[in-house]
Amino acid sequence: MWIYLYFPMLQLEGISKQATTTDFISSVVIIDGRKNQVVQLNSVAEQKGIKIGMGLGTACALCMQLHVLAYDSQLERQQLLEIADALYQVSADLVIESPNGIALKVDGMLSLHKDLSCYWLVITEQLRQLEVSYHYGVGVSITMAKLLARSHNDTLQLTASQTRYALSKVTLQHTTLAEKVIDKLIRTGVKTVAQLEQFTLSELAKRFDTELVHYVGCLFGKLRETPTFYHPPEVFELTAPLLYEVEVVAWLDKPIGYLLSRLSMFLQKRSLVTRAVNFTFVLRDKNALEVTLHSAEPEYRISYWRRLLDLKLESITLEAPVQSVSLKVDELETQHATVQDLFSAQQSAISQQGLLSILCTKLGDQAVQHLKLTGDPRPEKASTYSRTPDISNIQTPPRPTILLSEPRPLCEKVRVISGPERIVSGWWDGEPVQRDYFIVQNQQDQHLWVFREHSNQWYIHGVFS
Amino acid sequence: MSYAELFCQSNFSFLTGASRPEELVKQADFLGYSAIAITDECSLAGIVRAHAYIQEHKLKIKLIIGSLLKYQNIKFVAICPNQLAYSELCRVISNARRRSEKGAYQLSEWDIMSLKHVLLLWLPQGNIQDTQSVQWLCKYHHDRVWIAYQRKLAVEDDRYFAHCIKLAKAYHIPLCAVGGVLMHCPSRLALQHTLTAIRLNRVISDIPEFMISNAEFALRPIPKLKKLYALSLLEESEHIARQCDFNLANLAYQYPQELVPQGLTPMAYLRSLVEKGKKTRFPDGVPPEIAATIEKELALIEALDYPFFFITIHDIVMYAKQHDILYQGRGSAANSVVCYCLEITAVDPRQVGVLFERFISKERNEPPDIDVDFEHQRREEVIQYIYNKYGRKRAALAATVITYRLKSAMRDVGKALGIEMAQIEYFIKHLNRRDKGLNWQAQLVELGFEPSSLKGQHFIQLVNEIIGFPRHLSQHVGGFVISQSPLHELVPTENAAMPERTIIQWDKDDLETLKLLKVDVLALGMLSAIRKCFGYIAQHTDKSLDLAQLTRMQDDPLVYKMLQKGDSIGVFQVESRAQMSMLPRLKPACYYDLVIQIAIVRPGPIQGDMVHPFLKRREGEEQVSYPSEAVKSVLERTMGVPIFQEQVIKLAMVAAGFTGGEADSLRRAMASWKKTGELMQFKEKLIRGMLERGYEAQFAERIFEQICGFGEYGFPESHSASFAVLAYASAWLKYYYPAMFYTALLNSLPMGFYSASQLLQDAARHNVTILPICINHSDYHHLVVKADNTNTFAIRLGLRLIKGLSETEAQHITQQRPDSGFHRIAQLQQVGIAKSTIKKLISADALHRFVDSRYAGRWSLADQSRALPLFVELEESAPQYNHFQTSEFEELREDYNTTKVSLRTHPVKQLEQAKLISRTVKANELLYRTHKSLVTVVGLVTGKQSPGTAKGVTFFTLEDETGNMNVIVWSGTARAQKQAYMGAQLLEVKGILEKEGEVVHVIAGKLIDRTELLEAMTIKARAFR
Repeated sequence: MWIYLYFPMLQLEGISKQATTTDFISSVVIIDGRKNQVVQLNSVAEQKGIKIGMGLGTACALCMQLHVLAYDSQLERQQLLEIADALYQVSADLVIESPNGIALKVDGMLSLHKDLSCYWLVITEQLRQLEVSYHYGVGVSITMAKLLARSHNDTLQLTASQTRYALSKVTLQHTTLAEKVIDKLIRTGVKTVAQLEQFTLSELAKRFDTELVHYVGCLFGKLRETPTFYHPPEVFELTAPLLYEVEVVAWLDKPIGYLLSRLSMFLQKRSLVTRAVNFTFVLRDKNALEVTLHSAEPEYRISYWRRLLDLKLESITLEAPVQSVSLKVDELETQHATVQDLFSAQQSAISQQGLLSILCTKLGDQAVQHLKLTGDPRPEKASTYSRTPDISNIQTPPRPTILLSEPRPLCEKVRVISGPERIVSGWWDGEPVQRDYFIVQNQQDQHLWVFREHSNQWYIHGVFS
Repeated sequence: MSYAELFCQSNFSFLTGASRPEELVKQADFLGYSAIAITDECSLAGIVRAHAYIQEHKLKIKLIIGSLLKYQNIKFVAICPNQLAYSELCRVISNARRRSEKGAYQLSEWDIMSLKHVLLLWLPQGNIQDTQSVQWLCKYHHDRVWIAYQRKLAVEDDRYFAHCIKLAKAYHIPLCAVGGVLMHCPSRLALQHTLTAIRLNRVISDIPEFMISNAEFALRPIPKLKKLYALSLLEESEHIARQCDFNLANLAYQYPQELVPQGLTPMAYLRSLVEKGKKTRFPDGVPPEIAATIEKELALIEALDYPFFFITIHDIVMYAKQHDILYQGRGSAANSVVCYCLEITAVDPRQVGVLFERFISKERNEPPDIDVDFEHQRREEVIQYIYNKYGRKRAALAATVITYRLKSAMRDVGKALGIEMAQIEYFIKHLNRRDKGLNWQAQLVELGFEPSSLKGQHFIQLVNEIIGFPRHLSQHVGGFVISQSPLHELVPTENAAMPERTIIQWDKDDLETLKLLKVDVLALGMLSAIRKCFGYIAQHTDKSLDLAQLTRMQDDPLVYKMLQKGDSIGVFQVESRAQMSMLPRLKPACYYDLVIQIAIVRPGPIQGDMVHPFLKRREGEEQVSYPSEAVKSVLERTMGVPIFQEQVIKLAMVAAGFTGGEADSLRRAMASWKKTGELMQFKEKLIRGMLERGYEAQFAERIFEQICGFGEYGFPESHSASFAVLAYASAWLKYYYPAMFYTALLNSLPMGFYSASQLLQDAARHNVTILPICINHSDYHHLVVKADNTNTFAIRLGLRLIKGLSETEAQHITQQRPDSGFHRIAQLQQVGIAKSTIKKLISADALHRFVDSRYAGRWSLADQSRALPLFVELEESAPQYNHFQTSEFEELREDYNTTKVSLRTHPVKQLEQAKLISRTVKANELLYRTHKSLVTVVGLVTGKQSPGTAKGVTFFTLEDETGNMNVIVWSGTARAQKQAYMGAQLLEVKGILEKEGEVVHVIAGKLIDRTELLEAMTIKARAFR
């Protein structure tokens, strides 16, 4: 049996957790740009008469100060993974149904709980802490549970006839079938999911594509689903179940070895290293014993950690029998090949690209900037910083080597060598200039770059080398 | 000293030049230039406007014709010193343009080599390649090449000048000064930058490197030029200008000569054609006063030398007549007796009593205007005839200059300024162009636009400036220029977007300025419908009719009685809401009443407040008085109220003393006054003229107001007279042969105001039986069939209604149809009808004879195994699933989705039956409610029109099962209830009933959008459109 959790407002809720309260006084809608439809909205927007499925234009017409966000399935998936992670703590078999659903396999878990409602209590408690809104459905297949959840069935226990009744109310729009398929079904008179049950699969197969046949087959349990179960990612966390309680440290040798070898595999597979590992020994009737090991250099070799742990365990006596050992590693780093020989000539042989990437890594992408020509005739704006290197082919006119950050009034006698170069530009950004530039020579034979403003004021703006 | 600017691009160098040709010549003249060359890139599209401006304002400045041409590394301005050079340039531009697709050009080496007369102002690039270029140019054009030095006040000026001097010395070429002008004054710099950004499809702030860095590309005052250029260079430019003495006014062309038989003069030939025509048109002999008119007309045609024009049009309409294409001429010369004799028009002069002089006049100095409308579905045949007869070299379409309008301007300027596209689209979507009370700037502010921000200021200013700027050339709807010699000697031609179409670079105003005649070959849907209707009548009743015959039968009171009731759906020109509501008031009872009716219910007369005085005077409630005999002569036939454009012009002449030329300028200013505001300059002259002639100031002011109101909408009597013939003919057909009439209309769609659904409902209200689409009885087109057991006729709907079904598919079906008809779906598949086609037929319920429901039909068709040959012969035994049951509403929805019409119960009625709406007042009950009573009506929104009347009214047409209702929404109501106003498809209106005679309107108070009810009945509302 499956319970399906459907989260209709993931993105919006994810955002509202980070937002301040004042942000949410206004109407917020999330728009799916491909369909130009409102897919999520907050209660303020709802009060304004905006509905799910409405076009952006209509929504805007209904509410002047509408805060519009673009739908982002990636963001939703992140939220979903967080939820999955939390639920994984209490339910072992779960299937992620991107972007907004999680299916829980109930059968295995019932042995750990008194009954379904106890299990459900645990789940709902988790969800409450996560502060997400959801709908749920129960079914013999993921497909069935999902369909009921998406149609807001929200009932935990259903008899066969109750299920049939529920399905007779569910329109095809609640399924995840492609719109084309739904359309084709409607065009043959099929409007509710219950109506699909009357057909044999072969009858459907003659008329529709495999998607529908597969869907209907799974829905009514005629075909087997092949779900991919969720595995927690990246962070290593593993518990070694003990067949019996252990009182002597030496007897923990094997489970610790198992844990460490799994860690080693985990790290090697991902090219990760760590500076700290955390063992937890769950003791009978006592607080768990936490042992954290540190290393100055990042490490992945089990032999190293083994040695450290052995040293540590020598000084520890167990206060109670150990029930389980788990290993958790959450401070992970990428493995870097480091230069071994300090004195070899290799040391300075870092390419420009290499240096840039090291700088970027060390200082952050934001901190490394390239100079770039903009082609703007205003000298102050002729170049700019950019995250990417300059690949434009802009021709620059002769410009002085040193450009003064602030033009200085010209107070000396000079001789015009060339000019004027008239620059009238920049109306679009509120910093218009209107200047005539000249190259002049002063009495010290310096070549200066000077300009005359519209008001006939003269300034020095640069010095030629 | 003076100066001649020889290199100047107007905004006809699209998205480059930032000033209009008129602005350039005006400014150049103001600055004291002796001459200015308009030299758009590979184009002469802007020169006529410059020429017209100079003529009209009697400027002293000389206009030089030229063009900027680029070929590989060579860039030069070609200047025309004489007509030979002009023809040469036209030829080269035409060749370069014709080689490329629309909007582009491609010069060839030979093009440049073959220039023997034009002067070449070469613009060196300033690099090493110049040496090669100059050698090549000198080889072919040595004594006609100049080096044109452009001082841009850029950093490289000195170096570039030295480079030019070096080249000049080395190759003994004189240097001259040019401005490279892109704008008439420096303040257009921002606009020029914007145009550049639009051209590159980039944001202004991202592309400073592609933009000019200062405003030196403007026309500069002569003292400044003297500082910037050596005197010798300026003098050389003047010297070049002095060599140019070509004037556009001298352009003349000849009509094709081949139409006139050898040995006859054109006039003699025209006379012989008229003689022949007299016999067919007046079989009982020409009445003496008409014979006199003919003579007078012919004399006038001879005096103004227009016989070729009439002969050419006669030739075209004769082609149409021989090929059974219905046509009708209209325009200032079309309603002459000569045109009646030449069979260009069917307006019987005895019935109309119009005088030719009113249309062509010597003193008014305007070319005759004849537009010929042809059946819209067959006009292409006429166009091809013209191309075949005269060849592409001698016949081309006039251009239409596509200009920036508010929306396109907002889009492009917004993009260039880097404003979010979504925001611009939002603004555009929510602008209500019909809201005359609130201009677009104010509406933007209402939508949350920040007008005081820098970007906001730029946006508003630039949008205002760019509106009216040409964007590209397109083809005129049907204005042909035909000439004796190749057209490209007269004007450049280029490719239109449509394949195999060529256009000249001038539009109709340009042609008019240069007094070149064009022949308008236009398309009119109603002519198709009338011709088809005549055909059906002949087929079913053996009666053969034509237009001339109908007018000759004189006015039929029964037909006018029908019109007086406002029963005019489908009747040409008087079927719009506004027209329909005016019919019971104006009560047209004869042909000339229709002429007035067509012209009066237009924005022009309505804005000029001419309708009500006319109505009152007609009903005798107001005295008709004239301030003078002269005014009386002009206004008598319209009871002292100026209704037609001709009357206004004539009034300016008789009452204000305008000369013919001035009146003609006034007419043109009226045509374009919304765009240019030119009309105001006539105000003083008009009022002074009238005061001098003893008219009261009040009268004079009112006349001017009326002229303004006429604006671009003013309708000429000459067109109205022709349209009235078609209006009468269509009304006559509607009254006597309704089944044929509606069938003809339906088979001519798209045309007119109404959709197939609305026409069919109207037909049903006129007791015409309508039979559904049927695989065994329908053809592609709708058919007129004998109704069962009666002597009347019914309409059998055709397969053409089915969405996505092509004519070929339909023909395949009818060809394969067995005599006994089809009985099974498999049978259709057997004869090779595609599955997709069968699907469409099922959706349209065309298989209802043997398929229980659409659902069952689709279910059985969907079965892939049926397509296997083995199973084809098997009888279908579709399982009877219960979901095949359909409701009336579902069927209705499917009807609308596939055919846009339904013969089932109207959605409003169904909603009522389903108790989703309570019963409201029905369309046919409105008439019996009392005036000023409060009513609630519900209907599908089938029409929404806001004629450009001053008061900002929108006419909604709501449809229920009993008919149409007119709802009037004032701008205030609309603004307050925007949502319902803009978006509703099913609308409930609470309002006050207004009744005047048989005219009933609901003045909307509250608008309630009920569209969601349609959705509740699982319906896609847009399908009801």
